[in-house]
Amino acid sequence: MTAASPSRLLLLQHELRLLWRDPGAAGATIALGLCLLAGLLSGRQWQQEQRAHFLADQAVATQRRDSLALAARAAFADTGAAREESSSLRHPVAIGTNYLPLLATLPPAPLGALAVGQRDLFPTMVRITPRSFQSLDVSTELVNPRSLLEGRFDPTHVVVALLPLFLIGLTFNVLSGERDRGTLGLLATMPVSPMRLLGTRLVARALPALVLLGLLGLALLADGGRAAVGPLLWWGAAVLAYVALWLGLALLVNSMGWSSPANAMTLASLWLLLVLIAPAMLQAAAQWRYPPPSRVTLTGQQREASRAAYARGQDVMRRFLGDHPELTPGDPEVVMRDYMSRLYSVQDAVDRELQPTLAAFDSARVRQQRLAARWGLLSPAAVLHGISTDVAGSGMARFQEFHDQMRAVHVAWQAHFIPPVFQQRELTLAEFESRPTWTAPPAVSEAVAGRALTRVAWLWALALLVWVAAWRRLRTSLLAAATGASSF
Amino acid sequence: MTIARKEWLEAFRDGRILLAGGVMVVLLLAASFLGALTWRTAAQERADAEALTRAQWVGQGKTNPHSAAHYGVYAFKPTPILAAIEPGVNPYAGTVALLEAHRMNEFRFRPAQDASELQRFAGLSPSAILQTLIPLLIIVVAFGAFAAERDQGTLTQLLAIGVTPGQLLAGKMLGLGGVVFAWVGGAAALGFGAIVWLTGIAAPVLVGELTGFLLPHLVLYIGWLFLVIGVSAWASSSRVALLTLFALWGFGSVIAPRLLTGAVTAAVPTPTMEQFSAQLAIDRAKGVDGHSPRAERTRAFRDSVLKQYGVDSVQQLPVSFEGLALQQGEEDFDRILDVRYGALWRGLERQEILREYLGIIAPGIATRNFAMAIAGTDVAAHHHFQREAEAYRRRLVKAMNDDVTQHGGATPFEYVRDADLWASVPPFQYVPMSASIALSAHRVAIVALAGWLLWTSLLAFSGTRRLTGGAP
Repeated sequence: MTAASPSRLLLLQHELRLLWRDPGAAGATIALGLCLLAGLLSGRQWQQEQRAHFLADQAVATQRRDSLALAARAAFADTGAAREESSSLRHPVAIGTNYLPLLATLPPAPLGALAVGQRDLFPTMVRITPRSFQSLDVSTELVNPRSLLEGRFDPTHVVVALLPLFLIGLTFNVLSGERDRGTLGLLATMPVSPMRLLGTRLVARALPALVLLGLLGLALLADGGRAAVGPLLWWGAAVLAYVALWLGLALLVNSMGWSSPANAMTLASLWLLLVLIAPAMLQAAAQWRYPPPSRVTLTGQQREASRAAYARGQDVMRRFLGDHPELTPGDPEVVMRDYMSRLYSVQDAVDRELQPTLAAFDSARVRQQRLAARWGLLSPAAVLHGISTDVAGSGMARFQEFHDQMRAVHVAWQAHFIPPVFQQRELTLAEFESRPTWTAPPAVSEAVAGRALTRVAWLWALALLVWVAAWRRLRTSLLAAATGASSF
Repeated sequence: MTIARKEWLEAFRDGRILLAGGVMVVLLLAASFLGALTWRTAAQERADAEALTRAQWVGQGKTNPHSAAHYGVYAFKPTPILAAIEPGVNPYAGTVALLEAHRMNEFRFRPAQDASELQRFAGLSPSAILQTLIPLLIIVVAFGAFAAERDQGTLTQLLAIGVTPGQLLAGKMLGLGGVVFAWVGGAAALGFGAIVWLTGIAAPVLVGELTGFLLPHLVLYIGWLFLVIGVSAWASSSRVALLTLFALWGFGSVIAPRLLTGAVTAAVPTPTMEQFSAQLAIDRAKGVDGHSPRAERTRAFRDSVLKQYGVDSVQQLPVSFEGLALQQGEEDFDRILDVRYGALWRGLERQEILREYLGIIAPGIATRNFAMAIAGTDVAAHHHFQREAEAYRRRLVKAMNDDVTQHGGATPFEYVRDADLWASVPPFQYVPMSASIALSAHRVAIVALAGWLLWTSLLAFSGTRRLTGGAP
């Protein structure tokens, strides 16, 4: 502002004074402020719930793990009769499945209060065992499904859905209001260019929202600390582009020369289209184009595959042992009679058979996501929503990373605990101590910046396009109005 | 009638209303198509999976009855036909659970987990259009009922002809209501046709189901018509009327539903799965009262059995003690489940009751509560299904344990049975709650809708009266 010319500053002061005296604008600003505050409080409440749940869950699980680890270590030192009694504490399956499953956790991100996103839908703590991966990846939380359906009132919802309504409310008559009052012609007689006047007026009307958004950003920064700076900058750049876009749309609609109610209705229709209808249609199209296989059908298939594998028990085991000669240095016939060995060879057969179907789930979800990301560009609201959930660490990308990391550690866990089952031996202390560990994913994914860059650039490009179109149209219209060549 | 005819003609000459109505028709038709296809696929998959898993149960071959109880059967959540229109909580609730001995498994696989992120952002179902977008159409059609006439200077002429407030209101309601219901009726008829065609359900059956479903929507629309006309009469200009109505709509449709989620969750918190499972493990070890260790409970049970049969040792019993003990263990755990799940579900249901009371502030929420109850897709319906599935699980496990008790003898875990026992357990056939029971939990929503109709009609009548009272 300091770089602005005095006349522009004076204009801005004048517009702000007018805005201050408009009870409607004051009421709308208070309403937006309250909504942002409610969104922030609700987001923080959610974040605190998540942290509390996460810490409580971890405390329960860690306490159990520590006491069992202690007992298991003691069991490795046992000798004689005591060693016989404590054999279950050294059994690979007992340790890897029941006593000390690996806890894969996804801690809350620093900007968690910004957007709940998908975080209430997916588990953030999963027990990794040597059993099939699909038996792990289904943990379900005890959450009210109605709450999932309705969603949370987080800051992202306020910014994506309500902020445009606020901007529409303040800018729908930015030019048509002059015409309604019969002062449009006077604009041409003023010593400043009408374009400069309109630009300043738009900035003045957006200023309350920008100040409130700045305060929201500061509050989020206070929550997230230094780790939140980078993601917040991306979010800020996206929100500014979003504001610029809606201001540009208001200018474009005003340049059409319609009445104020017609402008309001047109902008409200655009809001409806871009914020509600387009994302809903895109979701429907993504589901239609790439439907996931049926989980219900998979349940039956899984049991059928398992039944068939058990029925072919001896064959399945022979094939498995043939594929893994390193697992049976002893007598294969003894292994063939072992229950656990049979269980894991059947599991291997079932996993192989179901692999294409299971891969199809992941593939459908990834393709849906890609389609939504590509065509979602048509809805600036969907783009901003995507950026917000991504920087808040509650978007699909972060869960996909969590999922991939779980899959990798699960393979290592299986490789660590299953061979001793076939070798029909207990775990050694060295194996016990060197079992794979879980490293929680970083609080802020490094990939966020890369993903945000293109989307933020797209939002700015859209905003610029709309502004250029509006500006060109306005210049022509205002010139015509000034020379009396148009009924504008 | 003259006023009504004028409104009707004007509305059909207004390009914006034609466009808005056309868009609603297309959206409702598209949503009905998608809803019907989703329903058809889900119903077919469920029927196939049920048949397959039943065949697997009956065809599991010779095995021990207790092993069969461990093998268990799957329960698949059915999708009522109205879910094609109002999916309710179904995309966010589990669909499959294994019913087996010793544990009550949570229903898994929420369909929303296999969808893209956009699903959380906005949904396209016929009910979302009926409850959210049709009120917008009403605003577009009727916001200028009086305000535009005032802006154009025709209101004074209209009042000068000496119409009464009742005539004026009735004329506007009939004319504008006719326009709205023509669009909604046309769109609903097309959607209805799409659903009948794609699902193969008999039209009269669907009409019967839909009657109760559409009633709250009718109340919602009439209330909105009153509200829009009332605001149009009270507002100083059409601009003020439009902005006021958009603000009211935005509050009810975009703000209130999400605000309520935070409010009900804060008021009635629920435990995490980890905490809940840990509590169940403690209860199992110490008893649900916390003072009855498992070993003590087992000893007491054995003593009571010996006393009941008048023998000194389990070997002297005429039945298998292991079968009795298995069943006793189940019933013990069932009591724990009743207490813990009872508390959990009561908590979730309290959240819904609270949502119902707070939902009075927005008629769309009351309508949705009512509609989901009728459609059988609300939280109460989900819990009813879970309870029925759990009751079936207990019957199945008891049948297996009773067989072990009667025929297990001294070697209860080596003893095997064949298909005759598996087939003697009837398949799980879920009978949903009746609509009257489902609705009895939504009395507040019914009162809220009645109240909505009352206050909006008073607003419209007083606004019209004020206009005519001020007429020369």
